[in-house]
Amino acid sequence: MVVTRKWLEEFVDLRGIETEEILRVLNSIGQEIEGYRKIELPKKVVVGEVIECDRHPNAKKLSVCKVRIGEKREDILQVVCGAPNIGVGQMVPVALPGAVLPNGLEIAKSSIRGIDSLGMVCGALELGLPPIEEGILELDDSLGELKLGKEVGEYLNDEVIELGITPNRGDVLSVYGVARELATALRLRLKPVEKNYKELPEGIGRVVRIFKNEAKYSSNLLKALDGKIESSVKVRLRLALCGLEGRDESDRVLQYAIHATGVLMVLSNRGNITFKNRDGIDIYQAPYGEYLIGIKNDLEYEENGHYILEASYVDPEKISEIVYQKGITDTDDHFYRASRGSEPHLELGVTYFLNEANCNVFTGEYNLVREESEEYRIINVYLSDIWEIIGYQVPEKDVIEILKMLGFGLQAWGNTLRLKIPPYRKDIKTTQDVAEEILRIYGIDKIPAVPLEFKEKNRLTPHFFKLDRYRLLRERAVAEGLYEVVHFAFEERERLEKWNLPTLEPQLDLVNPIVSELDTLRTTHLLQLLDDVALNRANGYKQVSLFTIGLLFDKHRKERDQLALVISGERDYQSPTNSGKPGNYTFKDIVDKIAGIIGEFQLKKGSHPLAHPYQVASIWKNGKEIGRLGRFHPKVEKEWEIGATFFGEIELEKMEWEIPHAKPIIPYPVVTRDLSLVVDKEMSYLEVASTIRELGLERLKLFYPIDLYDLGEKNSLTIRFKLQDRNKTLTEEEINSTMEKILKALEKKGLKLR
Amino acid sequence: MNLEEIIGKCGSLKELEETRVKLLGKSGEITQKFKELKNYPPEERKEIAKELNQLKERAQQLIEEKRKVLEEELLQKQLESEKLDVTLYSPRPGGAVHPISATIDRIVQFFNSLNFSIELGPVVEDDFHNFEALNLPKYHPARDMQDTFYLKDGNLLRTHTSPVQIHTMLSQKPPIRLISPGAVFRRDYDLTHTPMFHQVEGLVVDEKGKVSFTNLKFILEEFLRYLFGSETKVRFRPSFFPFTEPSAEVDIGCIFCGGKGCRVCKQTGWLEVMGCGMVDENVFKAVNYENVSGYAFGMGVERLVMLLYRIDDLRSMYQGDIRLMEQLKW
Repeated sequence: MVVTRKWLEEFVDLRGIETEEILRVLNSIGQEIEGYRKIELPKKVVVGEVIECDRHPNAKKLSVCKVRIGEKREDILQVVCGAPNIGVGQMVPVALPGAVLPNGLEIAKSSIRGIDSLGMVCGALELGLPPIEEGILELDDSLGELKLGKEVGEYLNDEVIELGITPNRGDVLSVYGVARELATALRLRLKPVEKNYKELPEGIGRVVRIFKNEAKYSSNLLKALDGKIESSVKVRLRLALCGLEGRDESDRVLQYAIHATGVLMVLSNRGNITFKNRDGIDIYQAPYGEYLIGIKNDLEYEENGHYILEASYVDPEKISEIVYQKGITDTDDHFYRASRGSEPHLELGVTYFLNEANCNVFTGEYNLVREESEEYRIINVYLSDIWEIIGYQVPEKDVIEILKMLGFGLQAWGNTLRLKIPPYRKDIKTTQDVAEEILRIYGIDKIPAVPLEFKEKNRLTPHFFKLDRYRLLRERAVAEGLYEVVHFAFEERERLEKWNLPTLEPQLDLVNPIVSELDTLRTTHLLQLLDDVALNRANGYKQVSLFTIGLLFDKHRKERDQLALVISGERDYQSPTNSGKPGNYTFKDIVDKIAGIIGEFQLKKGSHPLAHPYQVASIWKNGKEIGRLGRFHPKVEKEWEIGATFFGEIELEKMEWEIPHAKPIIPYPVVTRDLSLVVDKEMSYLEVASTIRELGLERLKLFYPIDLYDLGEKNSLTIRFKLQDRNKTLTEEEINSTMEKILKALEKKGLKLR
Repeated sequence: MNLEEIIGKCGSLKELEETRVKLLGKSGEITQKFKELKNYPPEERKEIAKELNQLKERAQQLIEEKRKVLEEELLQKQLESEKLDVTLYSPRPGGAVHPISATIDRIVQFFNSLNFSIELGPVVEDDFHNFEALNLPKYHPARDMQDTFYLKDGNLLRTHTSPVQIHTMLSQKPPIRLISPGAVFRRDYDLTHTPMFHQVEGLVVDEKGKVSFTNLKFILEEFLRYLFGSETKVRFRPSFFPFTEPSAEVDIGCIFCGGKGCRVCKQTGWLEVMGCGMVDENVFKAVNYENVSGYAFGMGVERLVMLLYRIDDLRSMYQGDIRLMEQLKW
């Protein structure tokens, strides 16, 4: 909602109050200031009258004018002007020598094609105003009585205030409404809008007939008028300053009056008018179209000089409900206002419009005002309840004064307040509504901040522990040198399909995606992480190590959290230690990074739609499969142009979080023995390890592979064994016997000692 | 025999060892003298032996002292030879927590310490939890249809974290004291809007008459001073939310210009950071709560992140860009 200070002053006397104070007050009562700017015209631009206007002898498109800027003889200036719309008798802004226009042009005496020019007749844009007119700006009395030689700024300077009006306050969607709020807060009186238009001797009945059948919801007030409607400079300028425009002259004045008063109005041409009720919507049948009260105003009409002006009001909740139920979507500003509550005082809007329209008005009106729209509603509230909500006893006299300033009728019996709510405040229904009014006008800054007393309780929910564990995982991932990234929980369906990744079942997908790249919910983090790798590699980063913890969906749209990471490029930063060549990340690095984050785990052969088929594993921890890791498929690496890149995915809900239990430390020495074995190339280490593990050897504390190399047809695998006894130092015999058992078992599987 | 001189001129451990052998070895000079003792008459031997023993002890002592000196010199030389230009090794570690998660963690920490519980909810919601129960009937003007992502089975992506209030109140009895962080979705994508962002929601419910606006004022002032510093100015501006009444928006004094007015605060000296209010009675009705009072508040995490970390482009937070993230290392 945009208003100007001068426009506000039409409704409330703000003399002596700084605009800064006005802004502060509006903010403090909940009318948020979203913008402010000053319209200040350059100095030395004065009102002048064009008294002569001839064509320039040496230039077709220029004219030579005599402009009077005062009563004395020397107040007549010769000015060369290029605007085609200049003419004798016009009152215009004249920039005198010394004036500096907003575009930096300094006016000086000059000679244009051999003719002296002592100033410049200005257009709106040249003065720093919105371009409301082509060519020069013709001034008129709508700005006040024009005096020759007076600074134009005195007529046109203004201040533009932009407000954010909350959806519950339709009553503030007008200059009048803002003025009413301001008057309440500053304890001022509103000025009445006096009737100031000419009336014809004929009555409205001569030109309009009305049929009204059960129009259920709306109030209407109709006037008939005759004559051409023209907008004044003031109207056009203020509309432009408020970012509004009209389709034509009469519409401009109409928009102006709606913006000023908040009363919904339409104009139509003369003709038979009927009101019919169709499906609960009040329909106004005009000769050229159909107007749905409170929904839209797209009446087409000719500017033929005969108009019906109709003001209307409809209950905001009712109109919202109807529009929702009927599924009407092509609403306009009318519905915006009507659904938030337009001004029910129809006469205000009509009078304001007619004052500005400057045409002949038939006497009388059709007044179909429904009683409830004009009625004051009565509600009873308890003062103690208001105090309870606020938590502070706002003095009774302040409460009463605030309610009165708000225009609420008031009767008080002890604790009970009987309130008469004015029709324009449809939003006031309950004690909470009244408490809000008291609090906002009294001022939140005037009430204390008081700590709440409450009973303590164990409030550590499972969600708390979940977040806490995620925090721990993030910190461990960062310690592994990974950057955390966050993405939207959307993906592109086509891309998921292309890479054979799961997609949402179509009947569960989005109805109204915002862009095609985000047209479904994501089922993986990896595509987004690949995008990031590509971006950072393209930005010159040799090492890209990223992780994310976030929401994924399965094809049934079930939500789960997953940790995903990618590493790409160099495995360390470049330094003298590695002579600037740290070497690239390998499969082992992704394994180690993940171990650094989630601790120990086992790997089994795995698969993943995005993975290199022979470098991908499933991750097992505590007997459960909790994720996958591997290298991306070369096709993927090629598509994103990123070189060797590795990934991991950990399903967070499958992770177990238990405090590890310690066993007593054994004081006897650990013995190390290595076995080098010849193994089949097809045999995985996991098979070898399982065979050893299945022996259940108590003295075998730990074993792990330390070397693997190619023997041609077979591989050589060296395993290191750590042996220890719980109760004593192992003898050579005992060691050999254990190693013998291991070897035998392995030989059964076809392995041989090398 | 000038032991000091002989031992003193040894320049290396090797020379010292040679000298020791020369003096004290099997055929060393001093050893030799002990052997010669038998040539002396028995009455003199005792005296000479005593002197020889003193000489031997003295030699051993001097050699030992010299050894320590030489060993120390050797160690010093070795240390010098291992000299590094340590300044070459200033680290360049990677890795940083994303400011959104770090900020959520900080917020959670504050409210946890004040005995708030954490409640989380699904992002796929139904109309009842996201709108209806929050006093946003289907035709309410505050419910902008264009803002919501709808799903084909009639559900939607939650547009705020407020549905968690409803879930919690439907499953628990008052008193309630919760916060709920999480991702929310709105159909908006431009310089200052992303289709997904994060909110933290707060709700306190207790018996009727117990919870008031003054309590809300207290906790949010404390919270914002925790987050932005103890000197932070806090202002409450009346506003409107369908699910609270009275409602307010909460501003802090502009942290960029100190309240003088600048581009970021649009010359107002204030920055809007939160919304809050007393829970609307219609919300309590929707969850069948009677005779209760409560307050609720909510904040956009990205907004706070931009202010705390001085990040000026909202969208950069979602681009996985190391150029941003490497500045946020601790």
